[in-house]
Amino acid sequence: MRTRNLIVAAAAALLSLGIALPASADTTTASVTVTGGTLTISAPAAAGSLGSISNSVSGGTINGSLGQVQVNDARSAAAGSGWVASVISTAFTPSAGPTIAASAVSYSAGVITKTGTATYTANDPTNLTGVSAAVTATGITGDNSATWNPTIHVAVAGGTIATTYSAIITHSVV
Amino acid sequence: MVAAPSGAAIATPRGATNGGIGLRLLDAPANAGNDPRARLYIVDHLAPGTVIHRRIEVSNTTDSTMHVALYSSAATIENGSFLGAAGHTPNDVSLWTSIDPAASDIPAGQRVTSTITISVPDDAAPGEQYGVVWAEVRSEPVVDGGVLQVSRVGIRIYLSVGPGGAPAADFTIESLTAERSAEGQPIVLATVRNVGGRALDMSGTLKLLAGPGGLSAGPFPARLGTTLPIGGTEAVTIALDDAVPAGPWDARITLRSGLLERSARATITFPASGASPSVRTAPLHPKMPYLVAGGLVLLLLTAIATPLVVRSRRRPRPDDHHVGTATPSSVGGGKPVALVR
Repeated sequence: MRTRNLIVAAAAALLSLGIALPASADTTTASVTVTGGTLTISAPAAAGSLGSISNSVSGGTINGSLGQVQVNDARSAAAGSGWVASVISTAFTPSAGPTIAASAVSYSAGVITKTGTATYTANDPTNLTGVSAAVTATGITGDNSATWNPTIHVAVAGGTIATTYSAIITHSVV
Repeated sequence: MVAAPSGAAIATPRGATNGGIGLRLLDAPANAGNDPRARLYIVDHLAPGTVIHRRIEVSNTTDSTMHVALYSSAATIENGSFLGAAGHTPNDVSLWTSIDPAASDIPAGQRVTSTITISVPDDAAPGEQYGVVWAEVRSEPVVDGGVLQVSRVGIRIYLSVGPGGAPAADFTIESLTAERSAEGQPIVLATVRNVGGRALDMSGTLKLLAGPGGLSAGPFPARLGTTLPIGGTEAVTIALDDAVPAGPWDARITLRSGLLERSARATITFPASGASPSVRTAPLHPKMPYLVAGGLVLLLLTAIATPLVVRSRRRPRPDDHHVGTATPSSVGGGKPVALVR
């Protein structure tokens, strides 16, 4: 008799277990409002200058800074998620004459000042022809931010025409 | 020798970091409400001919009015990173995506809501594609040479197209390799392969059990946040504490992407230097509610059945101790076997 009671109790437990199982996924495409936070990138205030170099036969490198880049991730992202800040440059174009290709432009992030829990990796691309990861945040737990002041290196070949060059450098975070 | 400015000649203030432009997704599909990825990104599976709308909020946290352009462009997954293509580079997803309003002058400290519409055409080819919805600001135009700076913040789009339900996402943890860095730090490399039909954003932890003297260590976070393309294989790095002994260890790794989770185990030993041979992993049961529930049911049934069988057999032969009964451990089936190479 005691055994039978046990079976009944177990069956009841199973029944409630069955009820507690999650219902299968809803197939509607209705949207719900989410409460996630915002991913922010600092806005560039002004066009930048990388400096200048003396024209020479042997060439040289211009190392310049364009100011700080800050990524602020307040999305309350799930543990382990991340973001990628990438950089790309156009060729450096003078008003007349040959350009300095973006393949001669490299990037070093330098010191990355951080808040929050995340691992930041400086990818320091050596060629900005294509979109290249510049700083990668991984292993994020909660809100975080990273600030760095990148140095742009422009390799100027010997015999490059002495003039002012312009380019567009884009930082993207996603 | 001529002194010549090769960069811009204008002295300019350095880029401001007093705020910036922010982007936030306001809507997620109801059927993905529990998926943490769907709160950050537009992750969806759509049949050809479907139209979806998602609202986004663009904020200006600087102290001046910003002109923000909103547009969609292509994206790729390269070396574990989700990368938006340059400028307005199009692909199918970006061509199917429109944003209204597509540009806004946002006053300091204000926010603007835009609506993204993705219209998948009737003849869209099946498969998964990636894109980004960008909010872009530019520095003032270059007057006399110099570097025009552009900042973009984006929301990723992982769009799977095809009839019926979403293709199943799945991945396997193929092997674990124990090694030491040049500085002597123990490192575990897990080889992960995406065997499903969706790109994955990986995260996870490693635990070390049954070590020397019964030690256990961890959990250690996997250095991740990497995106794994369909069919792709990536090495996931887990850096351990210097004080972790060489082992051998029963290493248990758990990785997840959204709600999908896989666990595996292998016995590893850290070498004095360099890398140990890779060890194939044995899967541990995923923490699926149905499987857990199923296992509980089996255990419960076994627990009930065992005394019944014993009792019924004992009645005629009370002194017989070698009754063949099912035990919980053999029926529950929860114990995997470690495969060691």
